[in-house]
Amino acid sequence: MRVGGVGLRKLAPLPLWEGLGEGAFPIPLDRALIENVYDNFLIKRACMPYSTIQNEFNALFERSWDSFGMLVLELRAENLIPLVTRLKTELGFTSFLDVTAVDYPSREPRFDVVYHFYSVQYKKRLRLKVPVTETDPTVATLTGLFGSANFMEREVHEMYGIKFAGNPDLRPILLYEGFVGHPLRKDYPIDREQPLVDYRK
Amino acid sequence: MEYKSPVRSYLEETADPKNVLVNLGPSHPATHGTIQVIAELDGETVKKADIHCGYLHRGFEKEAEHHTYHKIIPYTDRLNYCSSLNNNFAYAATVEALLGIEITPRCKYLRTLLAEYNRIADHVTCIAATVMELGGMTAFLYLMTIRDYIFEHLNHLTGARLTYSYVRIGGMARDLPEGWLGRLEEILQFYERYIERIHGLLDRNRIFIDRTRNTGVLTTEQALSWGYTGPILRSTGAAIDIRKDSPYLAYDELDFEVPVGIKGDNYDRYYVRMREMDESVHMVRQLMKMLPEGPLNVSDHRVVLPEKQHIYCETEPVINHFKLIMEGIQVPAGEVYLSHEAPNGELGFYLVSDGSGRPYKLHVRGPSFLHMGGMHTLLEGYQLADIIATFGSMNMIGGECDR
Repeated sequence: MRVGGVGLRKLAPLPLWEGLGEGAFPIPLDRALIENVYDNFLIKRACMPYSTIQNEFNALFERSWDSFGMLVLELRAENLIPLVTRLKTELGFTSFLDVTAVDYPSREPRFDVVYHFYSVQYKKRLRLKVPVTETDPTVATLTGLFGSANFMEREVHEMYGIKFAGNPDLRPILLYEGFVGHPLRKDYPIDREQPLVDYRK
Repeated sequence: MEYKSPVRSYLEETADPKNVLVNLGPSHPATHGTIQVIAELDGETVKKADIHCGYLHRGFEKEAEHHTYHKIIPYTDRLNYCSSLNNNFAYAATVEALLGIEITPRCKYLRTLLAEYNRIADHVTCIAATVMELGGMTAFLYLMTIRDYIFEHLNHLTGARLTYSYVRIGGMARDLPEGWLGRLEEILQFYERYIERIHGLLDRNRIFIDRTRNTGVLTTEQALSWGYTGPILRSTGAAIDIRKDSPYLAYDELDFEVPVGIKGDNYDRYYVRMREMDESVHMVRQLMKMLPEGPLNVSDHRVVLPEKQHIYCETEPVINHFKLIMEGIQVPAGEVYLSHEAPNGELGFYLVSDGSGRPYKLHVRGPSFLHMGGMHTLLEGYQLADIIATFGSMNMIGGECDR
């Protein structure tokens, strides 16, 4: 007997009405109508999270735009937790994919904290941008909502010096204890060395 | 001379004085990859685990800000070094999206084919390493044989066994050599013959099932909360796959299934990977028939180097060549996030350009990093020896985790 392997591949399932022959259904099926309804459903579903966010959540963000098919929202730091909570509970953005920051030294506020989320329900991605200043680079932590926030916030904290208020565990993760400075800031020179163990003379 | 330990664990004292702390790694003989697990044990049961990564950190993002777009390609090879081509293609697609380039049909199908081919090599490596750490030497050797066939074959195409650097922005480095597709079919038949032996050795093996069934169990909700993607998420029963959900390259034209597991334990992760390889073989076979003739690179002077014979004879190609080499590709200002389904999960590149020849910011969302972020939940409550099985089935790749 063959266990597993290529022999297990199944054929793609046929649509319900195929293979049953004429007269299988009491009412003749109008294929064009069904496909039309289905297409409309798909179109509605495709626009669904983005239009809802833009129409109903607009009190929680400052402005929004499209970036290569992905909706981008710019918001103030205090609106982050209310917005993300609503996104998670109402629109199925249950996967917190990524957080990072971008440093613009000559701009005020200096940093953008950039979040990416994925809605499993609608199969859509979303980007949030939270500008923070150099003097007070603080945003609220998302560890209460997503477990994945822990490691990623630790990385952004050590690389950019962004403070995640409420995160209980902001130890260094890719660097080591005692590393001075934030290496991904633009003013950190690429050739500055801080070896943990001194080089051999 | 005395040095302070660079690692501060939050488990410096045990909660119960009877418990002991055990340190695994960063270079433990029974694991692969450099990662440290500090576990608090009550007898043989893991009460708490603390995961430390960063031993392979080499500053990918900082380096990327100081290199031209083409010079970053070798760095992307070293993210997940078991499947370099998938990283290459995801990076190239990100830059091409910002440039507004549409790759040629031949390039599109060839990239899809190679991505699936490299996925087989990655899954084979993962299963081989896991099985070897559990003591299955025969299965390891069979799987490594397949992997070596694939690596030799890709070496013929790209000139390297592991770090291929085969992609170029807007195309590929070179076209397929003579007879490459014929050899590909031979290797797929080798694969089928060997993988049947692996099924026979492992699927109903009492020892293997005892070590992997019901260890490291994960629910879909937990997996999503910890940001898991790829085979680990699918092993919990959720059919979430970027290739199906938002198709890129040529995936919308292919016939394939998304295999899922039952309860998200180590055995399911093993089996999902085995089934995914079968799907990849099925896709590669389809793509071999679909691969069209035609040019491989786009004819866009902003990104593709001119032909050598023109550089030697004409003025404008010399200037073009000089500008591309010295200043690099000029990518218009903007930002884009693009993700591909790499063998381990969602590999995303977030690129911010200020219009110059170097990225202003290039961030990688490596799936392994997120997988390590939640691994302690898979270890706690199980036995010390289960750390080895669970860690193997997570397929942590240091290059991608630590970047």
